[in-house]
Amino acid sequence: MAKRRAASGWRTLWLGCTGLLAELLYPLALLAGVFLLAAALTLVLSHAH
Amino acid sequence: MLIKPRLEDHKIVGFYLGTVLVGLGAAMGIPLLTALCFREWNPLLDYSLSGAITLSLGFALRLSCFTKKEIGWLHGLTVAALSWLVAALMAALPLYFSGGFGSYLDALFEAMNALATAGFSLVRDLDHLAVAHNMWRHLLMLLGGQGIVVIALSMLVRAGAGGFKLYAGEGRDERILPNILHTARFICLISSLFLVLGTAVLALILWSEGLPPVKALLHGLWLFMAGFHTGGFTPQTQSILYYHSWRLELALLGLIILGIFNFHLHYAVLSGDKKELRRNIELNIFFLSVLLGAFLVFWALIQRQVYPGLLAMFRKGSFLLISAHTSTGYTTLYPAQLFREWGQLALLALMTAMSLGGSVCSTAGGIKILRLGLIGKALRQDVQRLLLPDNAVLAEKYHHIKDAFLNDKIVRGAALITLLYLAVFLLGAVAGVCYGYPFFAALFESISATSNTGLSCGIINPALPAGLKIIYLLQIWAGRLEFIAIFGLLAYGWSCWRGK
Amino acid sequence: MRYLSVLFFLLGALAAAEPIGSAELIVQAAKYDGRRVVYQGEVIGDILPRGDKVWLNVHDGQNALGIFTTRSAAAQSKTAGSYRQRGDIVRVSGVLHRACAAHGGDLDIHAEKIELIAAGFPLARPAAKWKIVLALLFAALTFSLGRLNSRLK
Repeated sequence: MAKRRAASGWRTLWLGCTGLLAELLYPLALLAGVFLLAAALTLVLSHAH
Repeated sequence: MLIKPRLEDHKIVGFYLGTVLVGLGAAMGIPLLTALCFREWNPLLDYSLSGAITLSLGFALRLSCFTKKEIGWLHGLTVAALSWLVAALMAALPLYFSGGFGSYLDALFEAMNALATAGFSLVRDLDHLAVAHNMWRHLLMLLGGQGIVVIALSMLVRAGAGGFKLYAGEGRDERILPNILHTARFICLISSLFLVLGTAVLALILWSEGLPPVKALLHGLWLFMAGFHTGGFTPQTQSILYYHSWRLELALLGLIILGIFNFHLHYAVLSGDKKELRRNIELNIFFLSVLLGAFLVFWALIQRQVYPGLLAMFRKGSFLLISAHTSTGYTTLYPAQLFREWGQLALLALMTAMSLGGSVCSTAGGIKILRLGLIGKALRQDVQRLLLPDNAVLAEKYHHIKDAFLNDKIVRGAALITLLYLAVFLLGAVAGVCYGYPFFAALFESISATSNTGLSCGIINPALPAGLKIIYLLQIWAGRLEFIAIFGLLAYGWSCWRGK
Repeated sequence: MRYLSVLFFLLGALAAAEPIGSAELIVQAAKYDGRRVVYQGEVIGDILPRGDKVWLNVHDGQNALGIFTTRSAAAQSKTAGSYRQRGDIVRVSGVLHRACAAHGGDLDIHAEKIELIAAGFPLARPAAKWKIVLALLFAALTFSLGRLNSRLK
């Protein structure tokens, strides 16, 4: 019984950690998208001038 | 026929308000201990006195208003609306006693901004403020962000149906877990986890950028509390510009974006459902909305040649835009600079971003992404309906933690609240114009206040007229409660006056 | 004639040495961009090292500006402002950047010279007696009301 509880505790921790890492991917992806947009606009508008 | 609330109804409201005040008074123990550690004797007295006054009032209310009657919906809304006001009034006490504010109204404005996670500050000399007072200012953002009501509920009240009515009155209109007590404790657990990790990361960055260890830890803690709860207070007048650190700005951006996640989403992802990150309607719309805002901001900045290169433009533009969209209010620009250099297009993009805000059931302000999503889907459905025969049945689905069907009641609710926000944005702008400010600036400030962002173009400062301070204060309060609880309060008041 | 031109030169030099307020520097940043300015205020917070250079933040009563300078120039200032301390008042001469390319678009001054105008000093923060009295009174009230509260069912 105690072993089962310990196993479930580790599983909760594992899920929590991997979940947190997954959550961090969202802001990274967003910032990457914004940066690419900034770069693209800079390129396009500098050619236009 | 309106039924006039009886004494027992007033007692319920009074009892729960008293409970909230007892929680707030106990929370003053944290800055009190801080003052003790740093040997700041005046702040120690400020928090002892204010804590004692708040606790006394809380206990007195609980004693005089004790009743066995069950709490109802209208009570819940009334308590939620009044809690914010009453808590702000008491939280302002130590700030007022500190002498760092021009008047009690200024201290109240600061306290309301802290609790509502708005972020405008009227403190006179922030760079010389005591550590204990900074601890209180930032702690209030954590407390407000978590919802005073939720905390008081989970600590002091037994679980039951009554608990949910208070929680819903708060503006977070979804239940995560069946038992309200578990919901409140779950919110606290997730936030505590983030608090430990977030503070550690920020403190390490600050220490590597030259702050002494104790200060790095304190600033890390405060920036976490204000950042994760999308508040925007900082311990220095220059806001994030003080630190001159791109690493810190990057970390804060990550933090404030996580801060606008719906708590349901945190629960789902941290319990194993990572797919929710890709399917959730709010996250998807937020992603697109930020990209669109970024397009407008960068377009304007490039045209006006505001920044000398891609990196500078990306750093400033993305930080301000995301700070606005998440309704945080951190800034790396002086308000006068923002207003003069960015131009109307970029500022319009910021204003739109502020109005939209973040997810429901998060600390973000604004109209909320889900409402926008629902209205958009409803529009799509109506257009499709025009193309189909009259007797065709059309069902529109959306995914928000679970799949759900669009119905008229949901859309009506979303549309009404959106209209209310827009109306208050405009009314606040008109008030600013009445006081002599130009319309565009007044609109910016009004949107910033109602959406609880805290970015200023320069109007809100200690020299602001008292009348306008009160108007912005009311806007901040209304925005935090998303209007629903205020209508509850007005309905309660009306039925007191006109009921039989 | 020569006497007059020397006089004008001296007056000009004196005028140029007058510090400009932070509000003016921020609002008119485009005008002062890339030009040598003089700015005066209190050093607040921390001195933040960046390799062989440092950041200082100097507050003149209206705003605080970031000053980027060498360690030797910054060494003029020993005390930064905080709750217990009034920081050194320094006069900074350097080039203002409206949007510094080296520092991510920040408005800053790259200081060439920093002069100590007035040394900082500890701030006395005496405890107010009326607060002690009131705190004790309310603490007693809290304690008695709290005891009554704990008996609520």
